[in-house]
Amino acid sequence: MILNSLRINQVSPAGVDWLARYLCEIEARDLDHAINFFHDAAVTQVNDGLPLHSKVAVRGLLQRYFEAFSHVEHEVLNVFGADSQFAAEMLCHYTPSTSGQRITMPAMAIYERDRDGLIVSMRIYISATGMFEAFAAAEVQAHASPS
Amino acid sequence: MIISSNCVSQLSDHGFDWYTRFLGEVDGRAADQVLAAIHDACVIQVNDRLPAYSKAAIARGLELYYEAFEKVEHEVLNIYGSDRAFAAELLMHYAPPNGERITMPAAVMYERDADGLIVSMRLYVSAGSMFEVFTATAR
Repeated sequence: MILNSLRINQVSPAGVDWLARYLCEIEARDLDHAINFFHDAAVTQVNDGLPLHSKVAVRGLLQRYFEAFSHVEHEVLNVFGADSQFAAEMLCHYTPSTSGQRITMPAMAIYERDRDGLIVSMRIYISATGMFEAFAAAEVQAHASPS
Repeated sequence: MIISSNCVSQLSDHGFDWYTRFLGEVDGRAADQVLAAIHDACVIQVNDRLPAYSKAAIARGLELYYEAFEKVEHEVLNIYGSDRAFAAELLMHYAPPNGERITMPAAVMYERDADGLIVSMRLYVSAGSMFEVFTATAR
């Protein structure tokens, strides 16, 4: 994870630390640790896709994400808001599993956390053309492979 | 503009008022007033597209925007940050000339200078159908 591009930060050092730890778990492709950041009833949404309700659904989303990309790195640019509710603007550096060609996409993620610090809502806005292509290619490959 | 859906706002009353007035002017197609809120050297970027530099470039973009859509209405959902630097989550209701209304969720980041002028605005929107309308207009 790249933190030295962080320009505007409105959350506390503990808030940045929490975000960095969460993003590191994603980058380490550690599904069990990453999922522990979410509340059981968390809702996640990407762009205008249907919202996913519950931690179980988030697990499925992350699993597909890890299948689609062999490497993910986040470069945090700006963080607006307070520790419990904030928006993070970042560059997401992806290496799709199928092409191996690195894609960099700007994105904004909004996190809402409960009193225990768990994510109750996460909405991601991303210009995801290249990313969705990678997802689609991974799906095609999964369907083509005998189970 | 719809503000009754606003859930989180971390702005001051003054900041919120400024922002809703700005969106009201965008919705009202009041290009002169919209541009008056923008710094001469402002930079605007939509998704991973090339940024538009300067108020003159933004004026041209705004012109295209109004040509592409007969009606634009912003519905403010959440605002995170301070009056000078904040992120807003919105539903954008567009009516292209074919009359079919499109609603897109979007996130927009604004940075304002000491005089309150917008110096940077970055828009993240899943804009497939919107860009189709824009492309058709640009042709």
